[in-house]
Amino acid sequence: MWQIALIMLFYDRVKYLGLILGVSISILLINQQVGVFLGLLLKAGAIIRDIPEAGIWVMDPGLKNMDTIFAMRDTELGRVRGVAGVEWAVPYFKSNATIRTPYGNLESSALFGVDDNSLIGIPSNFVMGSAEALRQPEAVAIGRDGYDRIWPGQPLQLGQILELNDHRAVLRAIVVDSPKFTNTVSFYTRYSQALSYTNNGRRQMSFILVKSRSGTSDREVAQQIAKATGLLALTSSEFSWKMILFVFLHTGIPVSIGTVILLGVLVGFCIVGLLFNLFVVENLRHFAVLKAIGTTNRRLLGMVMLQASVAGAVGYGIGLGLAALFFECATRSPNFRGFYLPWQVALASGVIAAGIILLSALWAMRRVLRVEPGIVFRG
Amino acid sequence: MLSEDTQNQEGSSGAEERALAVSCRGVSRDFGVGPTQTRVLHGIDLDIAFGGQTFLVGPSGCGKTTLVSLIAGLLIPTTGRIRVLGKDLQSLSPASLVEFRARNIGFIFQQFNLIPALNAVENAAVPLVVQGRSLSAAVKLAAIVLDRLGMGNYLTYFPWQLSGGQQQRVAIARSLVHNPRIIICDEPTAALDAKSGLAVMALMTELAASPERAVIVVTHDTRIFSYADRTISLMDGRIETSPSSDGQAHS
Repeated sequence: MWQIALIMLFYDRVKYLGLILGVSISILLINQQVGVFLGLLLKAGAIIRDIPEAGIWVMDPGLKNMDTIFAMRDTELGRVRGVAGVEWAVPYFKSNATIRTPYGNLESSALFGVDDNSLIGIPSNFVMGSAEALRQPEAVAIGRDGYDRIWPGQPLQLGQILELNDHRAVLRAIVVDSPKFTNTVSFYTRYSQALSYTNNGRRQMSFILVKSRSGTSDREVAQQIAKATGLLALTSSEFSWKMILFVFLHTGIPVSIGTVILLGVLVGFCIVGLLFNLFVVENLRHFAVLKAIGTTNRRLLGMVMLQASVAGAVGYGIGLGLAALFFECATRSPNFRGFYLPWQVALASGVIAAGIILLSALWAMRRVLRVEPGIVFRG
Repeated sequence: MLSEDTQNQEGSSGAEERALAVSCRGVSRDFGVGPTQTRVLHGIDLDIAFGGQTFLVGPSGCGKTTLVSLIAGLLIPTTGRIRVLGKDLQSLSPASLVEFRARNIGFIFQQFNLIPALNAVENAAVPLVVQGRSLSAAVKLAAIVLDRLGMGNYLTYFPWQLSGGQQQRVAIARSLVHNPRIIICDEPTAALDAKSGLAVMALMTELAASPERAVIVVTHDTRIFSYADRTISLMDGRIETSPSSDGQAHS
């Protein structure tokens, strides 16, 4: 009977394709949107992830997110270094800067200044050049994606001259860094060099990066720093979650993406539910014939469930494939780098697809159960 | 519940009833509830023996289709008892009744009721698949039956590619393929032209009718009355006459 069920399903090509389309659109929307959303959340903590050496981040208690930084006085660095349990503490600078491209265009960028001595804070993955090259005067490193934006279509090359906030900068290294939330070009330089590019007054230091001594936990040391200095000290993990929470609570992104996901589920359910119901209604007489001939209700329900499951599985596969294709193609563009499709999302969308299919099948099954085999005698 | 008299009567005639293809005693059937309740059949007593074709005739709405639906176990009588092949249908569980129908009853419908997604031989094979055979094995047997019905060249044709007469031959093959002992035909010629209708009845007489089988034909097509071995006439839910010598209708 299973073969007959499948033949019946495949025969009605319009509805079969409609069912597949309904499921696949729903799955595509869910995976694409959730993938983009998770990518954005990851981007919110990208800077933190790029400096794994720092277990603790110290900042002004008023900090809301990476773009609203209340800089601290340089004297805070000494206070933090004096806290028990601190192995080392280095300054970290972040500010926005304007860059004039070789083509005369102005482009906004993020400027990161790292400790002059240790150079802690520079992404470790170099495409060209090295960290030591940044010790040269006016030396800057650029993120790989930013290079393509400033010099589109040109081969990677060092030694190029730039204007950073109307100051001269020389490109000495190209690094691979995590895509940032605001998707701007990232420049890395020494802390003192960064200050000369920006000149923000007495309060210059954005963050203090701290590593705790071995044998002490980051959490304990962070608490002690906060107690001793009155600054906000968070472990890397806590800081990442603070940034993620900011996206959740203070941007419209979760609502807008959540709405699209909900619509995807609703559209999927409506299309699949209605089409499958229509499919069953149009085949109701044939189900009645099968009933009259001696097919049990249980087997008929099995046939209906098989038909729904096959349409759902094919639709799920296509939808997931399209979502994977989207991420595969889109992430080749620097604007979309950092977005990906986690297997957990793919799995969860499979559960949603199964739910859509199950509800649609249950809705249609009522008719199969209720149909009287006696209707086969009606002309 | 049956009365004591009825039980005694049934006991004395039980062996005789079991030898019959179909035996109905005091069968009534109501449709609707409350003020809309309508009695369609009134205390039908009827015996149908094996061999030949029994025609149930009568005007539209007289209860013919309801009666064969009851005989096929598709409906349950409001009152009375129905024995088919010696089995009291009401004593069977729903699952057993479905199983009984799958093994012992073949159907031919007015509108053929072929499944459009299946080709001719797959349609004819459906009862065997219902009984648990694989589609490929069932198709081999169905092809033999279709060949006997002159449809050997149309095995892979879909219903929409066949004429009405050809579709009805596929339906006949479907009713015969599992070798049931009872075949119920509901207006088998109503959707056919005169020539096709007569051809179908000739096939029915040749292939379906046998001493071990009972064929019950519901019709009001007077053109095919000559194929009846016995005729039972219904009028307003009651058996009106028992015109043929072999028929055993009690009213």
